[in-house]
Amino acid sequence: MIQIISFISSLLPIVFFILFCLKTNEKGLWVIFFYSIFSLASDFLLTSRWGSHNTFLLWNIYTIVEYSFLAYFFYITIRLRSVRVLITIISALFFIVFFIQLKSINIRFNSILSFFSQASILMLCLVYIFTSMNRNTESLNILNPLFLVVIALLLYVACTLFLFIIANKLSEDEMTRYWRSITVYNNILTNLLFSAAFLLYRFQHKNPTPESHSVDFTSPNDR
Amino acid sequence: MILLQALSSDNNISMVLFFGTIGMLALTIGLIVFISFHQRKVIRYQQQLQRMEQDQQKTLLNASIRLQEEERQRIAADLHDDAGPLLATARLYLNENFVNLDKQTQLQSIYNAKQIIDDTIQLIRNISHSLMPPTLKNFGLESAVNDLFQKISGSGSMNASSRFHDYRERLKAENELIIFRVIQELINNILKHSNASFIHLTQNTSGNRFFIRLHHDGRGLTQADFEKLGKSNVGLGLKNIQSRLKVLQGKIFFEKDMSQTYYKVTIEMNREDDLRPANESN
Repeated sequence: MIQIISFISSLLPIVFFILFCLKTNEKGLWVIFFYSIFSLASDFLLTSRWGSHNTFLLWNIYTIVEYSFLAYFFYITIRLRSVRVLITIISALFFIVFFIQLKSINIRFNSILSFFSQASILMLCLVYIFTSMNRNTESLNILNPLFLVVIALLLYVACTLFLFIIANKLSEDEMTRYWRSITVYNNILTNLLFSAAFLLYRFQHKNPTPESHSVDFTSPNDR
Repeated sequence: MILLQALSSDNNISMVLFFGTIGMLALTIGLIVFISFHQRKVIRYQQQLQRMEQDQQKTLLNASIRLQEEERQRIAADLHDDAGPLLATARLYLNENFVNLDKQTQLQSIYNAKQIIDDTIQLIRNISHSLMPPTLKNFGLESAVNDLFQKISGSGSMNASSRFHDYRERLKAENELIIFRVIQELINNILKHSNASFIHLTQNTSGNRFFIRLHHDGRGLTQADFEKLGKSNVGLGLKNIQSRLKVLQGKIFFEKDMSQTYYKVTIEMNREDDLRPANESN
């Protein structure tokens, strides 16, 4: 049952984006939209026959693509040059580690890579929050769709970080059990927050502030 | 569900996973709560700051309106009390020509009427000059200040001098007027309250900053006094100075000299966009 709810929740952000944010210029929201599509597609593949035989391959590919999406999201959201350089360096390191461990891509779950990915995303979430707090209080608006997305990512990373750290030590049975119990709830929470972010965007852009009425209060002599 | 799994398992890894995840989650939620509270605090602080700024603006606006009204009343009083009787008297003298047909008397009354009309012209000129000094308009701030200081020195009550170090190019006419009014207001305060024996004004520039400094040896104000008076209901003139300088985006500093003998008032403004050739202003 919870699996079905989780699956439906994965559809929510996609539907909400199509309904409410399709005309948005906010690149960050587009990245999250494509990330949601990718997550849903991965879930589909995992349940397929091919996917059940290549679980590790799928998980490892998912890790690197997910990291790419999220790193790009932060790259375009945090507009600080130093942070962008940092993201580029971390991503380069990440891909180097990925290619080094490419041989075992279909043999086991790459715990190191996943931890690296989760830790980087966690750090970038914190960087986003603290740079926003330092730069300008207005940019750290709790009712900002991007802020809600970052909160969703923060919760997602916080819930799965330990799972990824010790993933290598778990048996396949334990892995499936814990993975399911943690990721399913986490997936629902993250998708709900993403959907809320898209909905919030819609509310904020639904009624733009009306232009001031063109009543001329100056006296005819002053014109 | 996770809790049950963790408790039923003997495995240490499960415990690490359970407590690690719960810990991370708690930290994250704590962080989110902290941000929410911080945000609310910041918003409250900003609102308070905005309110204070609005109050300050309102006080300055009120001061400016009151000063304008006072100025109008003064002009009205000058016209009514001085020009009115003078013109009425001149009219009386001229009327006498219709009654008295003696040529000598007529000439005398015409001469008296002329004298009175001359006085009235002088009076109106004075009123006009107090509204917009012609020296300022025609020759600029330096000449207007020198003129003003000569008049003060000429009265014998105080020694007033000024020196413009770098005023080769005039400021915009409206900015010159604002600065001149500020100087007038400061001088007025010094004359009224300080009991000083001298005033010295110096002008200088540094980069695009334009400075005017007034020194005097009487009782003066410090920055704290100025800010206190600016917030209170008294000190209309000081509020007027504040509102005028706000237009120029200028600053004013009141301080005591290092030697604790003199008081200094420094006006500082940016002259980046204010430069214009002197001949344009004429």
